[in-house]
Amino acid sequence: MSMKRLVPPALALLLAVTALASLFLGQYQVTPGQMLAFIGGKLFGAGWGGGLDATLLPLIDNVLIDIRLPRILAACLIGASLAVSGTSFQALFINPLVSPGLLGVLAGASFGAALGMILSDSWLVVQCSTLFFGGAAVMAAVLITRIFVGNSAIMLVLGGIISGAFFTAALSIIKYTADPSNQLPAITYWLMGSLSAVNLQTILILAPIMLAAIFFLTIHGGRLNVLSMGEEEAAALGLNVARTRLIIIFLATMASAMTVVIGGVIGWVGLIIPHICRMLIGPDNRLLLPTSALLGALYLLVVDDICRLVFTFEIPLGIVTSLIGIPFFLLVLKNAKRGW
Amino acid sequence: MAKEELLRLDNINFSYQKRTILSNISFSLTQGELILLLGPNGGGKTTLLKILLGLLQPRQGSVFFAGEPLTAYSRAQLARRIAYVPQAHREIFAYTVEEVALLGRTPYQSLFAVASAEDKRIAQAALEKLDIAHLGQRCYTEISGGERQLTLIARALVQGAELFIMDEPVSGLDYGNQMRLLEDIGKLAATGISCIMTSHFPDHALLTDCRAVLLHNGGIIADGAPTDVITRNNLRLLYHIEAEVLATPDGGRCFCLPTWAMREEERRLS
Repeated sequence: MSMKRLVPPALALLLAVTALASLFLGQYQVTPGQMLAFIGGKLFGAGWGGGLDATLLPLIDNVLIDIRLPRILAACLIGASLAVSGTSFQALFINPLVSPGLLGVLAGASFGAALGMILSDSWLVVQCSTLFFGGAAVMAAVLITRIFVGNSAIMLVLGGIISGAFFTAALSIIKYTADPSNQLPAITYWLMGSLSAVNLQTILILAPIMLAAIFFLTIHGGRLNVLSMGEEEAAALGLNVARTRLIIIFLATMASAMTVVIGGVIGWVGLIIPHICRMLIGPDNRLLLPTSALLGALYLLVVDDICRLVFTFEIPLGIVTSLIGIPFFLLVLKNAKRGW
Repeated sequence: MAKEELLRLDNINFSYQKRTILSNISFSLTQGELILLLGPNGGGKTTLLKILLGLLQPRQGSVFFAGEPLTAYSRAQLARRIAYVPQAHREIFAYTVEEVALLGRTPYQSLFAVASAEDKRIAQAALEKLDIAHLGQRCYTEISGGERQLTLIARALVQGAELFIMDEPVSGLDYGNQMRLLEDIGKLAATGISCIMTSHFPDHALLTDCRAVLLHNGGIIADGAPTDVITRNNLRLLYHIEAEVLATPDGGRCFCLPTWAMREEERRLS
């Protein structure tokens, strides 16, 4: 019991160390001395960075601040958001095989990104369109369920399937009509998920919102425990089921849609990280959610480091998370005989 | 001598789309009373339980709890007074028995739901009361059906409710555990907790000091002491079987002995 409580702080420490180490990783070698001098210079004024050659400063600034830092932040934010959303959805729908895309958010966001790419050259338009359609897809799922089939969790899944199928079809139409020499490859690569195009400005705008969504999902752990008993029991235990469910869906949708805005579609993180965390510390969502956030961040950071370093060319992150995710998932299934 | 009335149903009607599920249901329950609801599948038992829990609203009529209409209570207020004990389910996530019991503290906790030492003490006391304290740290998914049912009853105790609504609590259990659980439920009633439980077995009513309410086609056809209402005629009406209601040689207990189960064709002819 007490050992379990040590897992989140240990993961936080590991994440901090890995993030710092990731700043050193890459084609261009930065020495610890240079790093220290550079950070000191940034924090305390130029005079402090005594050991640093003035001509190197713009280069190091470019490598660390413009290239590596945004990727590290993006990997952590995306990993944490997907893992927390996945954990929340698995408890909410009482189904350990559910991932954040269940209600159509990833399908909608993908469609939005593709639509933005063929309509405009502006990156901002693409990002806004991604976010808008990610939210719209989930709203459609919720409304379809409300209007046609009632209001239970299982019916919501059906609404999500319908909404997801619609936006997947709409995405195919966009791809079909896109210019095959420029737009189609751009859309296709985007949907594979990659962090090679992130910029610090986008991250700094989205980070507070994503962190807020992660935080509010995390404090709903106790309520998710109650919800995972089933709707009727949750209501009989004193919970306002419909309201709590909508809050959780809203937060998870926001967090997931923003991961697509930053890095395209990155699969499997939201499915396997919750499982690995449950194997580590059990199903209590109060502890599981923060653990998922930290492990999700750590996992995607390490995978992105691998993407950057192992291959001479950059391979899309989404492909690697899937390739790593599948054997992990088989391992999880093997251990899941006692319950999740 | 008159005990205080805890629950009163006033002419409850419920229909789903155009099908009438419950019609003109009225009865009341006093503190510490145990009502066993008997009736065939589709007779409206589960619907009635959901109305009592405030999960479904009746088309007509009202439910009064402690003198106030059920609709006057918030969900959390209701949860402190009425607990739902579902049929033991196979939980998907491997919570420990203690964690499941602690969920009973939900209506008392803030959003953060941090279990205080007091919460844990209450949960521990409930587990001890049902003799399952030794299972506290075991996974709910790994214990037997009877132990799971006891865990859910412990959770209802943790809720501090005065009325337990139990949906076929003994159905999934083996013969021995059925009898033990009936005994445990009888003991709860003796401590002042009122129970309404459903069952498929008339014998469960005859074995327990309870009041039997017979539900047929959405209406109450009999309400009273088990030996008075569990009769040959009522069993035929409810379940389409011929059964003798016999007394043990010493006359202490009665039991049902089915002799002939009517098939569909015979039912239509009769």
